[in-house]
Amino acid sequence: MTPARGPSVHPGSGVRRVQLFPTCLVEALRPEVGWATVAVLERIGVKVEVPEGLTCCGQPAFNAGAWADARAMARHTLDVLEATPQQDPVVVPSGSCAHMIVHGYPELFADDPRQRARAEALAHRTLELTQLLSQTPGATKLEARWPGPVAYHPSCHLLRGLGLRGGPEHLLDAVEGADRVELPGAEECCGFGGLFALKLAAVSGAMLRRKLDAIEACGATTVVSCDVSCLTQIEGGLRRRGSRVRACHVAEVLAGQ
Amino acid sequence: MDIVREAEAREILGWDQAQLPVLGLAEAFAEAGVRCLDSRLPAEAETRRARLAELGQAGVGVTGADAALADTGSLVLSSGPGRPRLAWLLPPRHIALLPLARLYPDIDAALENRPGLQGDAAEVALVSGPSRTADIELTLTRGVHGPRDLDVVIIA
Amino acid sequence: MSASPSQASFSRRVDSALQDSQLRLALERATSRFTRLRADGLASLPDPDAARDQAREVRVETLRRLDKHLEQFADRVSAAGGVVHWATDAGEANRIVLEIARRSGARLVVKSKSMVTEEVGLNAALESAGIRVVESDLGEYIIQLAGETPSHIIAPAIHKTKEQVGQLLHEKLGIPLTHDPAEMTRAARTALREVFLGADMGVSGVNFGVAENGTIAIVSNEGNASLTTSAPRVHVALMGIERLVPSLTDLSVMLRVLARSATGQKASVYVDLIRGPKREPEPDGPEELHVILVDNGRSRVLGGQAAEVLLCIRCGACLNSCPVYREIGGHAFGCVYTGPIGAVLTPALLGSERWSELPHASTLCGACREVCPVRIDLPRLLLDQRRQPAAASRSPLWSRVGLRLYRAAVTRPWLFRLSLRFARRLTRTFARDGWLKRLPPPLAGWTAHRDFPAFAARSFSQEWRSRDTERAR
Repeated sequence: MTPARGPSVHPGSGVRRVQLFPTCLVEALRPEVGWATVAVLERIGVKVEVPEGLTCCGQPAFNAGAWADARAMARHTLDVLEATPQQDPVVVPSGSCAHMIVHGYPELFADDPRQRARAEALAHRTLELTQLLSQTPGATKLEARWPGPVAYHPSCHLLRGLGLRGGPEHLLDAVEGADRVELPGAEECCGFGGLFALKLAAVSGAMLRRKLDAIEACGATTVVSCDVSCLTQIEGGLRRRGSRVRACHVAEVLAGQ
Repeated sequence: MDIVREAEAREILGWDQAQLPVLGLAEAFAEAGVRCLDSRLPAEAETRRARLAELGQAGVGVTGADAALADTGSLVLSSGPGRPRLAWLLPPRHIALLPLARLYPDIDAALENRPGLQGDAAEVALVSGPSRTADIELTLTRGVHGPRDLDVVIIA
Repeated sequence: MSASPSQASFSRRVDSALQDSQLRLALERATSRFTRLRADGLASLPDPDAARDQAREVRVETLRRLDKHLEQFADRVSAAGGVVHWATDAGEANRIVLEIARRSGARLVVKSKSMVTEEVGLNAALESAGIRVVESDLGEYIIQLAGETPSHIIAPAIHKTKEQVGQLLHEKLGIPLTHDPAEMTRAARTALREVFLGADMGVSGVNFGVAENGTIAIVSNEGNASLTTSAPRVHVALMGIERLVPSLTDLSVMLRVLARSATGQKASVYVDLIRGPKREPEPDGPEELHVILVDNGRSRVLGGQAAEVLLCIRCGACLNSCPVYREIGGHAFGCVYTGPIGAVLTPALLGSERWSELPHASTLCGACREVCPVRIDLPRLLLDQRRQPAAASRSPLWSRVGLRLYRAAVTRPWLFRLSLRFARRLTRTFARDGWLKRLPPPLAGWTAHRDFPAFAARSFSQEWRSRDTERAR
């Protein structure tokens, strides 16, 4: 991953409509995250459109070094997102997918000026969800409510890749009842790493156990993340050890009633 | 001399009197019956080993200091005629005689004020304390190979 | 589908590391301690970010004109009375050292810590020529006695408990059994003192060579490097060709971040700046100084995509920050350079095909890049290594087939939807309470350590379309 580079879009200056990229994990495993995202966006007065034909950003292929395949997937995503005439901001409820589009796509096409220009244009109007919300004053006045203390786990691509530190926490703090507790070792990787979870499953499991021990020790009843990838890893582990701690996406907490 | 007495050293491995900023040390040692070892190492293998074995007996090493750096707590020691390196390396206790005027805030200041600091010396050492290691279970131990105790005597 | 030999041994090493609870405890203590120390050490600088930027600049400039700096360095070393040797590869480096040893009749060699000598396998070469080699760094001495390889760049014996060390010294040195590190250190000091004072030749590494005046800078906390390079008659220093800085000022920029990044110290206890052999009439110091400049693949790397990896100053900070290293330690990597830097350097220097698993032993979390004093973009380099064609052909069949299917589904929305339907049916059939406890190979690794969720009843887009159609009515 490459260090943070912000988008050129500043939604604070009146974004009225966005294109939502649900992401493959939300589509397949957690559609409720997509609905929560839509709810939150509509509550701050933003109209949401979901272009047809979006599938996956291609990050697993990119991370595996299979760049020819990743390029094919990136081209597909570019085609779909460019299909609508208006070039609205693209919102992604996932730090790693947003990072892929913002940093990975231009890199994939580094040697192809035409595709690179398309990739950069898309990168410039793509934001991770909390990135958009952090630039919108209304996002801390959602009147959301959540039962019980929460612990925030920042995903690596969100934190170090996109440089988004503090934003999600600030948004969570505005949710009544979601008393945020410090998660020991919060910034340590949960061990998902895409194919890593299968290729080095035992190491992934060991890293996960550390994360789970920290979650269980901190006293939170919900662990919150901006990435369904981390949540799948963490929730799978919590279930395996019979924990009652819930694992939720930040959008679900912000949409919480 | 107090330190030497405290260390109960019978032999000293030190810089020549001419290289030290304090006069009369040679006499003081002689008076106390403390022997200053000949630090010259022969080139021939066997005599060299014998001389080294002898030098290994020294209880205290005495040197001057070309400069000292406040920010890192370092002494700048350079080798040269009458200035054995082993004086600050071999004995378990090292006494460094530092003139106050040679104390600088940091290395940049030192080089600015004494541009010829490295000079012609084959070796310039920056020594920032006694020898130490934490290689065994991260437990800090002093005096691994170099000195266990380092005394800096500042001379105004 | 069978794993290739190197893959199998990598998995085996990883598994045995994960089962070694003593090792993991030691790793936990060491990495968390070093991480904390490093943070404090850097915080003590007025501007830590600027210091790292400057350090990177120095190294980038060095590599940019490495040929020029090397030439100047070699020239200045010779002018100071040192002998410069050029070694294209490991074999040549060892031959040169053996030749020097032969000419000076060396029977006993004392060594201070040097990664490049491990890389070229110097000790084994000397020993097969009947020359006794003794490591003087306490950690290296311990593992030499144990017949092991280092598990960490800075603390080579970090995987050993004090009980294990006590037992080892009891067996090898004949000292009474003790668990007191101070006593063990004293015993080692006594044993090694004899070696320092009796060795014919001292072999060291070089932390930085200074091109402008041919200085070699060597740092240590124990003073073993200082003794290695002062007492014996002959001093042989091996240096990777990339380990230069242009000037003394540049050297101080590097030293400012080196110790802080490694152990949090403001400065290593001993910094030896050596320029040539002893200068008559100095009383001590070596009669001969030989500097061996080792290439062993570095110039090839310099001309390639992984060039940035040569900026490394071997501080070990990336190891301490890596969540994977913390679980498996250095031995699992199976080579002298371990951790994030090793996962790039080893395949780059020694062959991507043989070491193709190493770059995959990472989640690309980026913690390493955050701590690197010269800001090497290790995640980027790891990705580049994964892209190597040699590496790709080594990936298991299931992953190559899976990739093909995955690409087809992602680029064809109808196939994507169909695949979701299929996966949904399968997972929901076998799920209990919405979760699966066992997935079939090749996905079994997932459920070995965590549950897997059943796919959702309807995908987000499916539901979105139907609500859209609802709204349209």
